[in-house]
Formats: sequence, C-alpha cells, structure tokens
Amino acid sequence: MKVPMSRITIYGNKKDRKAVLEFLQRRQCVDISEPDAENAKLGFSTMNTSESQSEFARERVIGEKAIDILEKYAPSEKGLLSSFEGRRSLSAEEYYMYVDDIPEMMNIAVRITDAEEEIAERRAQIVRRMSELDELSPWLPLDVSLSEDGTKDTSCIIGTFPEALTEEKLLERYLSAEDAPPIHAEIVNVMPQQTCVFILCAKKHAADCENRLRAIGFSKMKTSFSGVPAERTAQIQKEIDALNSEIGALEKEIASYKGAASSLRFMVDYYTMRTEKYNVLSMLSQRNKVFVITGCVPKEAASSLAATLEHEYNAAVETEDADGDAPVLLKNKYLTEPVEGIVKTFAMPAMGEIDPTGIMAFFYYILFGMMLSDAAYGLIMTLGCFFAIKKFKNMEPDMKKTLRMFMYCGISTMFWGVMFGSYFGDVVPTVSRTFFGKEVTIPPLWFEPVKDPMKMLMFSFVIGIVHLFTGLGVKLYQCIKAKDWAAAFGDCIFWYMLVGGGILYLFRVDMFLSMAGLTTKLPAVWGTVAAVIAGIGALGILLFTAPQNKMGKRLAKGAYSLYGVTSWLSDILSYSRLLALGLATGVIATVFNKMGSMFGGGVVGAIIFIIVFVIGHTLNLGINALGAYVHTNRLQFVEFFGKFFEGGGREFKPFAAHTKYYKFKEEI
Amino acid sequence: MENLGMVLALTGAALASILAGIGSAIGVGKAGQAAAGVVTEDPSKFSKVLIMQLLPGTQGIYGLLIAFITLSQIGILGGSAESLSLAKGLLYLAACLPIAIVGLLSAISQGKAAVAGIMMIAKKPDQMSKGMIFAAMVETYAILALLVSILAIFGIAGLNI
Repeated sequence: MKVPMSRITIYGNKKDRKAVLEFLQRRQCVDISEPDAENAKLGFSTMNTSESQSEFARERVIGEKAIDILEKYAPSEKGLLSSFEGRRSLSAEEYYMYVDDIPEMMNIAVRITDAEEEIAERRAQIVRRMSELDELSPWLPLDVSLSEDGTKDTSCIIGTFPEALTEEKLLERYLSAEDAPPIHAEIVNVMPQQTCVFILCAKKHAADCENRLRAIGFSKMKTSFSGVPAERTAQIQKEIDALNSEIGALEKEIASYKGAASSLRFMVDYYTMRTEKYNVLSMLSQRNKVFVITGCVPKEAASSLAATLEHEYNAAVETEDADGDAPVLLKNKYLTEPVEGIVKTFAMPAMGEIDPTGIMAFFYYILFGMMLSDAAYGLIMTLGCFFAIKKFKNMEPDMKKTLRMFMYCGISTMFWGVMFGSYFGDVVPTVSRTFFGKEVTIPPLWFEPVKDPMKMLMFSFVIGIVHLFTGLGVKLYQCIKAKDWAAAFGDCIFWYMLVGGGILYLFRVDMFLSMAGLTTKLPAVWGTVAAVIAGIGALGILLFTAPQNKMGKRLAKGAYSLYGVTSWLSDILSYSRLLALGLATGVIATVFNKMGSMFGGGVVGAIIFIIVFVIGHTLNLGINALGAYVHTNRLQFVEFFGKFFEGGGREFKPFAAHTKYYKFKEEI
Repeated sequence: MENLGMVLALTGAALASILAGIGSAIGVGKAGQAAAGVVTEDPSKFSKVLIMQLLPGTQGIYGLLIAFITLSQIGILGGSAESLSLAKGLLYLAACLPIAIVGLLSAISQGKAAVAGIMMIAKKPDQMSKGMIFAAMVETYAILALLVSILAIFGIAGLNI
C-alpha cells in the first residue's frame, strides 16, 4: 500500500539551522521540496551553494581515486560473498574521531594520487630508456664513442647499410668506383636487414669518401648520445634500475597508507553527506534570522518528528495532509514486501492508482515457480537465500528484500516441482537405473507436463486469464473509487463480458474441446448464453468507451477500442511461456542426467556422473532462474500492468546520507 | 532408401540445434563485445552486463530442447530406433523448422536489443531491469515458435502414418 503523507513546514532560527539539518539528515524521513515561489515576495531568499557543493564533490573524487589506487597496491581482503555484507555502522565516538582525521586524510589522499602520478611518469621514462637500449644494442661491439670524429689526420665515419654485408663485399663495392680514396672498414654488427660499420679514412678525403659510400647505400649514424656504446648501455641500465627502485619505493609508500583506508572511506562518505546537506541548504527559504523548510513526511512519523523539532531544536512545525501529488513511499508486509523492488523498477504508482505490490506478489511467486518448476532447484534457491540472510545480518535492506523474494520464489518452485514430479529433472529414475539396477520413480503429485503438454498449455492459459482478469479487477476498483462510472463499464465490466463470454463459448467449439482433451460438450443453450454475454460486452464497448463524444466520434473510438480484443488474445497466448520455460528446465536437466549416465555404473561412471551432474545442473539452474525472473517480470509488466497500471508517481526520496561505506547511527 | 524418414527427422533435429545455436552464438557474441566495452570503463558492472549478455542465449537452448525431444521421440536417444515412414520423417523435419528459423533470427535481434540494454546499463545501471525487459520482448517470438515445435512433435508421435 501507499504510505499516507503529510506536508510539513518547519520554521526555525537561523542559529539552529545546522543542527536542524543534521537532525533531519539522520532521521531520513523528510523529502524536502523546492521553496514556494510566494516566499520570495515575503522577503525570503535562497542560498546559492553550488560552489561549495562542487568543492565537496571535488574532494570526494580525490578520496575515491585514492581509495582505488590504494586498492591496487594494497588490496583489502574481500570474501567471495562480500557483496552481501552491508555498510558498517559507526558509533558517535568513532564518527567524531574520523571527523578529526579528515584534514590529515585529505593530505594522504593527495599524496597517494601524486605518488601514483609519479609512478606513471617514471614508467614512461623507463619505456624511453628501453627504446634507447634497443637502438644501441647493435653497436655494443664498437669500442669508440659513437660521436667520434677521428684524429688529427684521420676521420671516422660511423653508420649503417640497409643489408647484410661482409667486409670484403663492402670494400669490393666501394673500390669498384674510379679512384676511390683508400679506407679502412670494420663491420661492427651484421643483421639480415642492417649492417653497422666503422670506416676510417684520411681526413682530407672525408667528404669524398662519405659521398661515395652514400652512393652505395650507406647512411650516417644520427645519434643523440655520445660515448662508447657499452658504457652508455651500462649507464642506461643503471638509470632504469634507479627508476625501478624509485617506483618500488613509491609503491611501498602507497601501500604504507593501507591503515588509512578506513579513514579515507569515511572521508568520501563525509563529503557525500556534506554535498547532500548543502544541496538541501540551497532549497531553504531564509530571511534575516529565520529559515523555512517545506517537505513531505510519512504521516505516522510526522507527529514525533514535529515534537522533537519543537522541543529540542526550538522550531515551529506545521503539518497537514498531503494532496495527491505527494511523493510515493511503498510499504508492505511479510510475503508481499520483497516484490516492492520489482514495482519500483517499473514505476511508482501515480495519483489515484493503488500500490499493486500486494496483488502482484502472489502471482509473482506462482509464475516464477511454474517457470522453474523443479523441486530440487527450488530447495537450493530457498536454502541459499535463507542462509545468506541469516549469515549477513548487516545486509542492506534492498539486498535483503531481493534475497527474500528469491527465497519465496524458491518455495513456490519447490511446490510446482512436486506437483509436476521434477527433482533435478529425472535424476531419481536415472540414478536408480544406472547405479542400482532398479528404476525408482517419484510420481508427480498432479501430472508431468512433458507427458501431457496440452494439459499444461491449457493450465497456463487458465492462470493467464485469472491473472489478466485480476488486473482488470484492479482497474474496476480504481474506477469505482474515482466514481468514474463510464470507465468502470466501458473499460472493465464490458470487457469482462466480452472476453469471459468468448471463453465460455469455446466450450461449444469442437476444435477447442479436442485440443483441451475434454469430452463432454456443453448443451447448445450454453453457447447461446455465452454468445449473448459476449455480444452485450462488445456492444457496450462500442458505445461506452468514449461516451462524452459526439455519436460519430464515439462509435469510432468505441470500434478502435473493440479492436483491442486482439491484444487480449495475444496477452493470453503470452502465458504459453509458462509451458515452454517449464519444459525447458525439465528437459535440459534430463539431457544432463542422460549425459552423466552414459558411462554406466561403477566407480568411474559414478565419478563422471557427479562431475556432469554438478556442472550441468549449476548451469541449468542459473540460466533458467534468470529466464524465469525475466519472463515473470515481463508477464507482470506487460500483460498484468497493461490492464490497469501506468505509474508515474514520484518516489519518496528523503533527505538522508547516501553513503557508500558506513552507516551513521541515530545519535550522531 | 527405406530409412529416409529417419534421416529427415534427424535433419530436423540437427537444424533446430544448428540454426538456433548459430543465432544465439551471434547474439551472445555481439552482447559480449558491448559488455566487454562497458567493463573496461567500470569493472563493477560485470555481473549486470553478464546477465544481459546471457539473454540471447536461450534460443540455442530451445533448439537443443527440440533436438533432444525429437531424438528421443524417433528413438535415436534411448537406443530403440525403428524405421520411420517417409511422411513421418518429413513431419518431424517440418516440426523442427519453427524454432530453427525463428530461433536463428530472433536471437540475432535479441542480441542487438541486449547490446542497447548494455549501453543503457553503462549510463544508468539502476534501469537495468527495463533493459532486460526490452530484450525479453524479442524472445517472446522464440517462445511461441518453441511452443509450436513442441506441440507439433508431441502430436506427430501419436499419428499413424
């Protein structure tokens, strides 16, 4: 159901502003709204806090970045199921201790991000040095400096040929030209694509020599570094080592802040809270010494909230019942509560709409169970969710709701599994036949869908019709409550007659009877009655869909609405997925059992069977539970909600601390 | 050629698993690429996008299901293969076609819808269930085809031709 809301107006002294805001943030029960435009005329103004908000956001981002970096160099131990663990709650004492730490934490966060940058810079330098090493490596045998010019009378030319050459071949080529000045050539290094050479000639011939060499493919070494290659290499290696050790030191430094991780997390939460608080601050109407907060609060919480505000915070409070466009908070109990999340993902009920959670929950469990329909899978789901809820007491409420929902879905799955006689598919007969030589079967309580798919299909349609008619019933209820009689008849009652009459008439149609496996054909008068009911329904829809319009338009709109009967047909047919998905679970389970039992009895057979069984059924359970979830949602959203629910209400979002790591208890 | 019926029926089973399997492979593959892209930006969305990636995978399973039911109906699984009349073989082949063809095409389309859903998760992770519904809408047609195939195959078993 929807929680009734009160509109609350709080008038306070400016000096209590901080305390009041902090109190409201802790209570988490007021959805604060934008100030009334009228207030401006009375001399009230609002504060612009966007600058501080972005400053807080910036600090939060630094903190988050530091936490990520810290996680990289000093990972915190996380269990496999850590996502079930909720936020830790902090006592007041811890809270203030952490608040005192914040300036220091900010320094640490900045230091961590800086250190990360320094590491990145050093890594880039190492890459540069490495490529230099690559360039130098062919020149290692050379024992003079690469930028060596020669002596008083000689010149040395150092460079490469783009092919593999020997000393003889090089000289032969060089000397083949006319009056080439004499040279001395030494091959430093030969590779298939490159030959490094050291050439010595008389100084006076240097230019000539070089030109001639160039003509046969030589190119001079262009170098940015001087020195003997081997020495230079050793030097670079030393530099790289130094950089590496610096990186190591920086990494160690970052890791040394591991102890600060929890304070850093607090800092992120703290700035998140402050951002939210300042956002609310910008929504207050303020004048000289007073401020005004307007918002919505659940009616049941209103009086105690008002009392506390008046007594402890010296504020004046006015409450009144909220009108229709108040934000919506859903509240349900026991079995129906967990499905709230599903409704929320669709939409919040709008004004005049009821909260569909309660009605929907019942069908949700039934539909999910029918789609998965295996007793063993249901048991696994139920137990898994049950123990997760028991083990992680501190779990976040939304997570807990989801797990509870799947637990109830599991119970329903067990129920349908027993009805349809499916336990890990057909594992009982398969195992007893393969390993014990005697086939044992557990008979279904009702019938086996694989043996009689038509019966299952008919049953699926029956469930579908009940589901759809319930949805239409909700619409009827809403219309009556709104005293919209035209809609009550035109959109609901006549549709009941048309669709209901049509379904009843089917019991006179031979084709349907043979499909459904029914033998008794009802008397002709039944058909007449059914046809008359459907006829009245159709006529009613034609006439009363748009009674406020002129006759021509009215009939046209009615006819268009009547065309909607095709959507009823497709809606009902859509429930055939109950059969298809139910069979899918059972048949795939059977396939895995068969695969496992192919190796016969005995120890080896048993081991292989267990392996295939565990992997196969894990896979099958996973994929079919996902399928059941998705398609149950679809049946609810498209078929069921399509009949009565549009949504569009605003969700109740109280002013609170939406923190990531810690929860803060009431008394802080 | 008196065993031609058996050959045709087996062809049908093979087609169901081949075509629907190809469709799912393409769909899941596309969704997987998109999912990997999202995870490079934000690894914490892994489980969400993984679920989206799995959605176009069901057609392959439906194909497997039809293939399996056909194989056990004609006795290839279970070892009691008898000769099958030509007409019956053709009927089995025809019965397998809906899930084979619709499975192939719907899985590819569903893959595209899943990719779009994954893109949505990248920007608005809290809207995930809507993305799932969009992709699941496509699957409806695969389910309808599966249903026709199942009903037809179970129906053929009772025919005496």
